[in-house]
Amino acid sequence: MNTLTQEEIAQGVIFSSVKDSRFKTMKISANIFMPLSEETASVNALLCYMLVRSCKAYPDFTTLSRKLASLYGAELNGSVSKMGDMQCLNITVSGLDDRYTIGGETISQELSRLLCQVIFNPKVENNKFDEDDMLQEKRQLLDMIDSEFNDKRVYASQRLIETMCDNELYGIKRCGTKEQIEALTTEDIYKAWENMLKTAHFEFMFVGDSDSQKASDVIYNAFKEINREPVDISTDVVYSVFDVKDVVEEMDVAQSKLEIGFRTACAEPESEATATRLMCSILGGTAHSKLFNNVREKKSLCYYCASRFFRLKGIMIIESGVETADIDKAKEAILNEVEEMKKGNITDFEIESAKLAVTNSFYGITDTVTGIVNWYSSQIMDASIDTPKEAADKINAVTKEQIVAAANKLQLDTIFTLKSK
Amino acid sequence: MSIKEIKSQRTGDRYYKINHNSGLTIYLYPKANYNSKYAIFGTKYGSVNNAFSLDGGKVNSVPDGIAHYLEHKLFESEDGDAFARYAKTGANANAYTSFDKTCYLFSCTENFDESFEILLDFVQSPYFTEETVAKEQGIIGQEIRMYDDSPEWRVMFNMLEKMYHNHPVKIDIAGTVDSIAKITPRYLYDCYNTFYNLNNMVLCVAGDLTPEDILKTADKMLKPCEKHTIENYFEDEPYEVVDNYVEQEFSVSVPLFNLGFKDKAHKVSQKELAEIEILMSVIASPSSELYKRLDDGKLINQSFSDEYFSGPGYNSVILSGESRSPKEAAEMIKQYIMELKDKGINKEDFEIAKKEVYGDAVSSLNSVDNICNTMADFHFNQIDIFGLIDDIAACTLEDVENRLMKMLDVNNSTLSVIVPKE
Repeated sequence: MNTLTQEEIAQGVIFSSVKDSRFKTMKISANIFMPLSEETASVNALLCYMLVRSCKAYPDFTTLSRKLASLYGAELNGSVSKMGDMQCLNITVSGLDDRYTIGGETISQELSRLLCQVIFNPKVENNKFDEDDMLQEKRQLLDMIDSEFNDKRVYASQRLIETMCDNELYGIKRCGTKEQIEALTTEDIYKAWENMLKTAHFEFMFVGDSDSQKASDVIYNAFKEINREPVDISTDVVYSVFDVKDVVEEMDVAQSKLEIGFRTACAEPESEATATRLMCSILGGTAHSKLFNNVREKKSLCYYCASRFFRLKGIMIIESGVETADIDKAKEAILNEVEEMKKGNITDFEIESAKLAVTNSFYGITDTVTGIVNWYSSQIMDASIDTPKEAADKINAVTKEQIVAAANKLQLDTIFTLKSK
Repeated sequence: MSIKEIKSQRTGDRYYKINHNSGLTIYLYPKANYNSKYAIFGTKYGSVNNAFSLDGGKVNSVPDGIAHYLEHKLFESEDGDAFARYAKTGANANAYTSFDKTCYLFSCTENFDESFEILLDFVQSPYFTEETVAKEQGIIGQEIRMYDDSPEWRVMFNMLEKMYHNHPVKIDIAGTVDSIAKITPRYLYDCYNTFYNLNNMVLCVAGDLTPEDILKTADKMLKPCEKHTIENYFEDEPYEVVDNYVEQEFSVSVPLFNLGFKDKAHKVSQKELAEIEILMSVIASPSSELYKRLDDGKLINQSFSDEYFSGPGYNSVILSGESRSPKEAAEMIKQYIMELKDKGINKEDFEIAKKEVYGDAVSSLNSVDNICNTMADFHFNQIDIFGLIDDIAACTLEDVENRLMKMLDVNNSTLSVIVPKE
């Protein structure tokens, strides 16, 4: 893999590229950041899905899908996520590298143009998006929100975050609420699109063997027409917990879910989060972590028991699925492992094996196109953008004292239990 | 021992196929300048192999879910578990059991030799005691409970139960809390000694490696196996489905469906697989006419997908997704298939589908894990990863139309639906 090159091609518009000839495919990803807010979360989310449904050049879903399929199954995808207190709309095109087509087609150029068409030339008329397209995408977005309830692990972790951050921007759901989505009009979406082009922070990323300059030029020209006033990127971090919340929800399910949320009092970009990241891995990030070995293997209480760290928000969560009769036992066992971390009862073997696992995953991530895109995109808001080697060196330099210090900053914030009736 | 190099003109890639003296077939797919290395050690033994004999001996019937239970227990040996050993190398290890195979795998960027040795060692070293077997009941019990709450899992098994009268593909891969309670060390050794014979197994490796890199460890670690005859027993399975509809209430917000078309059981050839993949793209890809009708009718959403589902003694096509009106969606799908059989496939639709399937097949050669998992599966089904790409490129409209006429019997299907609880 070659190194990352980066350029600000318009105010608040970054174009990055990595030239790499190892892959059969190429990808261009646009991450579009806007502040999370109750008023705009729904309309921005719907906008994202509208943009990938059709555009002026390919005015309906089938025409666009046939175009993509005929480019050897190229893909155009939209998705919405949260990164800290920002809402991130992701629009990605990917397809076969030009070298592997049967008919010698230049897919990379077609896909760069297509990405620009869907972002800058959507199917709009009289300051409105298309009514039928909106009804279809509303229906699909409402289905998607409903289906998050179908997966009880996803549902339980969402309820934890919602409960934990109920007075913070981070508590807003990534696609807003169903009620708001239902009320949206084609004019609302048009205004959101204009607002996005003017104020959002854009991060484009190109990975592949072909020349990225053409893609960069097309995007540069598109932004020349726009009067940009980009937003600031920031996230509120909660450093102290005053009351521990304990919420139990009963449901007709076979397995109860236990979700425990902590504040880490350490978040990017203000603080260097490497030690907290390693601490989280030792606790519950691998199949030889404290939680896996003690709560699953020794006590046979669960099939999964793992911890995750959200480094931009300063939150760590622990998730498990247990028998209802074992909820208290599991809670005690999990919190006990957290106490062990705080007391410094961590072996050198636990530290070394976590370092090996984390650094191995860093080095491996750049062996896929998506991995490279995700590696750099996930660091957009960090204090510095590291290569896998730089990030691995930071992990390897963490001392036991730093790990114990990171563990001692953990403050229990919320316990959410989805209890089987 | 023989080493054969197999090249692909179209992709510029190559792999080595090694028939090792131990009886094992080894594949190495070199990936220059990749940091990641991936290895998978698999046996042709899955949840459906619950009645078998060795060298014409007596038929062994074993409890449901035992292949998966064995997978969990193989990680443990007399001197600790494999995860603890992998912890010293930094590899990310895992395993899975499907209907027709069990695979053990790891990925790493450093210490490949050490991790490779651990993989070859623990898979060849069974250690089952009353105590270790008992310990796993709680863990697998919770895994089963987790799947009990999965509507995607339930909607599929409800369908399989109404498609298959006798075939064990209708039984949950992990078994039930009751069936796994019957598992003993004796049963585990019987299954292990039958199916974990190197002649019944495959090893696939991908990464920046040479055959010599692999063989130095393989030669040391592989314990030669005598070839045995394994016979699997399945009760006769009628052609017809058991029932064409099944419904269950569940704690969901959006209803889900699986529509399965049961086919006559047969072994799928490489050329046939190429034809089926293109045919499924013609029918169900987002660029298809059927997709447009279903989408216009608000009968499906982005979760809509298709799968060709086959293994020893079972073949079917499954179309699945979320739908507010599953019955209408199923009717529209069947209607469209009848029309297609009647009128034939549009030439342009075929060309687009072929390009799509070709692009997907070439793209899948990007990642080491994809390559190894596919090669292991293909080995057990006598399919060549490059040969399939060539067959896709060579496929004609006539081939796909002929294939269509031989499958997707609209009068032999089962619709399974999960509906929200009142």
